[in-house]
Amino acid sequence: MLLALDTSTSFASIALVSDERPLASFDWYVGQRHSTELFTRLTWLLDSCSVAADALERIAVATGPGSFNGLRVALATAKSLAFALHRPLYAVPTLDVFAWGAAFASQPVWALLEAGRGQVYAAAYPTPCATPATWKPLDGYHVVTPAEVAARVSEPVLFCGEWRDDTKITLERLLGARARFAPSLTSGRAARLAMLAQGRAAAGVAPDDPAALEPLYIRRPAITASAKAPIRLGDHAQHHQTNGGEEATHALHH
Amino acid sequence: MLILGIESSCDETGAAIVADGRIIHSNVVASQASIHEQYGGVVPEVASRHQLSAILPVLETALAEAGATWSDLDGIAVTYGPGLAGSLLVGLTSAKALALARNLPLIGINHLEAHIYANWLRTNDTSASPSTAIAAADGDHQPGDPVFPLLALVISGAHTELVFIPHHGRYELLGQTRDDAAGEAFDKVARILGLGYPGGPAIERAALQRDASIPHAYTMPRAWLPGTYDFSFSGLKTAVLHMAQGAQVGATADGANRYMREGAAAASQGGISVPNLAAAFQESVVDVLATKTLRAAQELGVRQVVLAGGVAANQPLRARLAADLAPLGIALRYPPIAFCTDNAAMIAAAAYFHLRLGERSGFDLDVRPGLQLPFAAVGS
Ligand SMILES: [Zn+2]
Repeated sequence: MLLALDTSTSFASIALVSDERPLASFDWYVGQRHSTELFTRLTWLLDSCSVAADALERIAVATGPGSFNGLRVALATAKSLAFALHRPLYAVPTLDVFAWGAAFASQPVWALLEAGRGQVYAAAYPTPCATPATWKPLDGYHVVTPAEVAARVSEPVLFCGEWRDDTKITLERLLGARARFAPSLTSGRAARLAMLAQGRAAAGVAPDDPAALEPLYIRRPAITASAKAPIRLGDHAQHHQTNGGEEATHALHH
Repeated sequence: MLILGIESSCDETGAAIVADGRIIHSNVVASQASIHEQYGGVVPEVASRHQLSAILPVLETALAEAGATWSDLDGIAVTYGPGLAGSLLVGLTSAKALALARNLPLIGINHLEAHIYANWLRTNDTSASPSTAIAAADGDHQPGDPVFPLLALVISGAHTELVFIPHHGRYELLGQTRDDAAGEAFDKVARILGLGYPGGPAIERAALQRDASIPHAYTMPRAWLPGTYDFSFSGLKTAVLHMAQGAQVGATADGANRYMREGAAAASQGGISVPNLAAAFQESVVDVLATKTLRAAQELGVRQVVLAGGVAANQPLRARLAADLAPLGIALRYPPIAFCTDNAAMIAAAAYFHLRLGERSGFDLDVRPGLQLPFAAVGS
């Protein structure tokens, strides 16, 4: 029995899979309520399948990119379940999960997810691919503008994931017939995540270390102006001292 | 009753195992202070990310040091506010997952209430009564526990509150800060003086180096706010700033206030002494806190006063209050320094008094960054 969970975007997805056979999955619009809604849905899913928590044999989690708080909820949950149940944990980037839904396409697949500030998270995948254990982007995960995505595309591609209308319009304008769009994948994500995790386990790929696992934030934390230290008298004094300024050297005795 | 407590409200990740709200089996804290020092304060997104990295190693160590297994535990307790949303989220989510996995009761704890309950923790009493004896005790009072009615002075980086506590769970707000919290004032003044972060210990250390031979006894203002138990520390902080500015750029003839002129005068006579200024600032804070606490303790006729929160670690405050209260026969209690700053043992301590009454939290419990103590209307 494997539990898969993905709360990396404003759509959340959870699934229970038994021996490669999906038992149940649940997808819902979670908005920013990842913390309050995940566990009530999770207990409902387990109860409705008559599965006790300690019957879970594997945990799978989507690691982002996505909402920072959504990723914290996903990873804190997956890490803690794996830790308390002593079960293996399989971590899969969210864009890999998006793209796996189009793994059998005949043209290259790009997974996209809105990143805010006019940018998208993006990754390109070679297709077709039938082996979950080797499912990886061609050259990593990026945070770029839609125009920068278009600039990297030379042949017809299939876009999948979650995007806003203006992102799609920009790509269509720049790429014309080279851009095709899969239906926006807001459901079934955890079931695909489970397939990727089961595929890795079956191929003998080692599980991830729950303690060391980090989300795929891609973006560094923004250090806001309010968090920056204001001008410090001590710093000024030290600065003057290095310049040999006489008035400052005796202005402060530490 | 053995409780696993989890604390992640700011930049400290804590896990602790405590028996019957008092006896510490383990208490593990991973601090990020050295990381945030470079920013002069806590950066929320950085803190949240470190919480997620630290949570499992801290939990693992707390269980190992207590020699506890999951089946020994009777509940999972976790801070749900106040604090930074992203940081709180890590501990709360982890606690929910542990409770789900091990089928244990979950209880969300108010971080401020937990600071007060740090006074129930025992640190050197290894011969403490076994679990069953405490559970059977009438009203759950044990020798060595704080004695009601209590007066609590809650002082931290975000709070300065004088609270009357007639019995477990009832909090009557007598007064609070109207601007900066006491700990916030320590942080800001430490920054002005170039003493680093966190400011409380930095100022306390600097003040110990004060030079009595320097003729200037800097006098800092005190905001008494007569007729209330409220506090104000922003004027004090500004006075320190003006004094430092006066020392650095000199007092311009017009527009310069008393503290700028004093700073300029000090600079011309050999310089402002940072240790002496730190000591004068600290004295002002301690004087106001102690005077108001003493008056409230007398007026309400409490038997004991407890200190709670990070600023409760301040030694001059402890010494002053203990000396002021002793002649009145009122005992001052405060947790050891390690339990004044954020820790998970205090979360588990507070949780015991809720869990023993059958209280539980649901899985829909959300983080509450702006949570206050659950104040009862005075007289109700
Ligand atoms: Zn605190």
